[in-house]
Amino acid sequence: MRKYCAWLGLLTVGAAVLLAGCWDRRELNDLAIAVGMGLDRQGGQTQVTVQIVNPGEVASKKDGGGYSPPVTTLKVAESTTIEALRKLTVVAPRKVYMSHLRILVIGEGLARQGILKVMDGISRNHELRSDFYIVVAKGTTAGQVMKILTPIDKIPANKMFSTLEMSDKLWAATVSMQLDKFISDLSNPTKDTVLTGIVITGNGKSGQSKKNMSRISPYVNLAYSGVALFKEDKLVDWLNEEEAKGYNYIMGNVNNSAGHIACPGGGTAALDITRSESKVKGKVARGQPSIHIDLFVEQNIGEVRCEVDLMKEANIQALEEIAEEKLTQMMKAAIRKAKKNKADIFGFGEKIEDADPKSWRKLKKDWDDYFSRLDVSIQVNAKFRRMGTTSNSLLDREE
Amino acid sequence: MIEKGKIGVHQFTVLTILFTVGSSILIAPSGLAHAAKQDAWIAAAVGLAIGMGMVFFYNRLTVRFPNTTLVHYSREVLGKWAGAIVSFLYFCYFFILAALVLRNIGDFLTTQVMPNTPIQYIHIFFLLVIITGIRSGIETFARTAEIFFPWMIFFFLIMVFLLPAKFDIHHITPILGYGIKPVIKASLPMISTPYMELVIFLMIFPFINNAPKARKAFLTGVLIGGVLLIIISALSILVLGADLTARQMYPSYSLAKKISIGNFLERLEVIMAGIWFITIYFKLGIAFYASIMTFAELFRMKDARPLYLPFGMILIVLSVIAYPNITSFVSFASKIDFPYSFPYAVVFPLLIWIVAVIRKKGQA
Amino acid sequence: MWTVAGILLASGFILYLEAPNLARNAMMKELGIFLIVLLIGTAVGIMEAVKLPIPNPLTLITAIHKPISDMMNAFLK
Repeated sequence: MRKYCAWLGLLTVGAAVLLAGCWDRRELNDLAIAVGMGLDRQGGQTQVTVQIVNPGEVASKKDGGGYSPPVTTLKVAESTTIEALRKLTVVAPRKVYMSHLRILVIGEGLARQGILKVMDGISRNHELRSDFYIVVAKGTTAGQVMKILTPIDKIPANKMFSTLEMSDKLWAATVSMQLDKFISDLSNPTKDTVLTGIVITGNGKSGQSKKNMSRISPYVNLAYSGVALFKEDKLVDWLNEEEAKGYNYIMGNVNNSAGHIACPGGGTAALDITRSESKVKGKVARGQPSIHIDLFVEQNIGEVRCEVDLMKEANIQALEEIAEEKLTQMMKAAIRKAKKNKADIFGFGEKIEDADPKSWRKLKKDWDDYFSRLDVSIQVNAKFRRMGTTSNSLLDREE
Repeated sequence: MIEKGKIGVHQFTVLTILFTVGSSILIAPSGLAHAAKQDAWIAAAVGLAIGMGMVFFYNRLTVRFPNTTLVHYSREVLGKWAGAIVSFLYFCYFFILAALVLRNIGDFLTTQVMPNTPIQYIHIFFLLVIITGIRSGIETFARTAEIFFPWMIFFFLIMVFLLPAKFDIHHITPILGYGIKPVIKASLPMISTPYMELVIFLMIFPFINNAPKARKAFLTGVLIGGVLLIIISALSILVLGADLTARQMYPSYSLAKKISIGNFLERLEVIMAGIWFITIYFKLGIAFYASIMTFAELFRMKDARPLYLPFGMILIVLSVIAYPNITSFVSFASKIDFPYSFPYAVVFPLLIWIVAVIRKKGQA
Repeated sequence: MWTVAGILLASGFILYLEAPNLARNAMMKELGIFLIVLLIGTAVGIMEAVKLPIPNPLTLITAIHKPISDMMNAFLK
């Protein structure tokens, strides 16, 4: 009995002392929850800007009652990312807690210089998960982007996250990229990667204060525009809207989107894309690699601005052909841009590897060259299904 | 023999499964993916095949000596002195294994969850719980295993069912694109742990109440454990990709991070870590139990129970000094472990068997 | 300093838990082995706490098996 009690006593004391995780305890009010992080280059150092939640402001029911905005940014520069995050403690009243990060913005300057070194610290950190998005600040620094207050969503980082998630689902010109895929692509020697660009629209410093939300149309807002193309780990070019859409079609990222085509007799018709599937196949013939892309797209007619009789099947077929042509053009434009920069952002190399691993071993070393001369054939199959709730266009008045 | 308890066949199966999965579920996919890339799961299968072969062989040994432990029949077959030396070597092997497994769980916790906690305290506490468990004998320990086993399977199934949404089938191609050689190379560390460590069950076998069924259970248990390891490797590759799996220290943890139930229940990875707590607990328990039993039988002691706590002290020190940093461990596990385990898993048992046949020892 | 005290305390506690039982049942051999192992445990524990270098069996194992491992790797390259 005595022995038993002694044992139990030992375990209880041990548990009380050791299980509390004394060394690793972090009280909730000692944490500064970072929702957004921006990385810039400053001199030879990395400048880290974190957007921290101001809990009192976000939770408060009275609108605009407090004296500070819902988030605060803190910024510090050091030679490595990890040091910068620690150095933040000299300005932050609490320890910065990174596990709830929603968005990571990389400044264009830093991106052009090369981001691999910066990303290493981020991938090693045990606090950082992989469920946040990464974007590039276009034409501005990440620090500036972090400072903008946005309407509707009190926490700008959340807005950036949801915006990217939505536009990735509904508009084909953006790419949502998470940390582990990004690292995977970066460390793949033959594949290059892309990131969506974020811009500050509007002008004036009022974006950085609550004044931005004092009128119906905010002075300044954050929008996604363009897709950054990376060669190895340096930003070298931007894909415009058409090329970005082409990229997404090839990668099979498009869920829903909208586009327009020219009508056979002049004018435009808008399409509502409901499904798209792409199959990319590689082939090696006599030591020369080639790629074939099969794209299947289902769409509805969204808006008609021309005179065309939608009830005639021949017209629908003509529209389908025009749509297929347009899609091919978009994909070719994306491929052209990538070839110009010798950056295989589509992962064509991996498709060649799948098709013929032995030849790939020889082609791998000079893949840049092979890619820039790559023979890509595209086959698009576009099908129109429905046309909304009306049949013929309002323009088509029965004579 | 010192141990008076008896284990049922079902309990033995559970113990085998838990031991096989053990610490490998945490660290194996990384090493496999490093050498075999996207064919890591094939390497795991190769390892399992070899492992089954070893179990088959150990079963033959138990046919010859169904009621005594390894220490006993090595003494009987090889003579007093040679048998004692072999037993002492086995004691060292099991003891070092226990230290390494303890260090595994300590490293995992200090890497992913509690970086500031000194690793000794994690070890001390974990070991205290283990000692409480095995001090009462193998029978109680096996019953505990039976209780916790369904939980481990439950969490495992959560992973298996919730992750397919995140699969990318292209991660696993080209299958065997680079030939069988990298796969073979990758399977070697996989064989050395856990399959070569299965020789440990020769210390536990005599306490199972139905020997013929127990032999079948041994095979079944290792098979199931091996399949679980193959599944985890395949899941890692399919969800994370070969590159990330090789790059991460604990790919199963990253896998668990990806679980999201209806976009609403997320961040469950620490609960998943419960799987590994359970499997490592039982593997460590068996290893420590076997080493103490080997020592006690070697010195013909009547009761081994007092030995647990003092050896526990030594075990903690050993687990802390075993390797100075994680790099040494990876180098040990991937290169040295195989030649190191080979004598214990293959040479000694084979030697005992051959000499037993020659000297007509044991039941034919 | 405190760690060493802690280790000695733990040692004493273990002694208290186990020794009387062994002495009562006159298991002298077991008591002897128990004491030796406890002594070794306390000794290495203290050595570790004051950061004295302790010989690491794994270094010995690595030294013995490295040549074999290198041979195997060369064979499988």
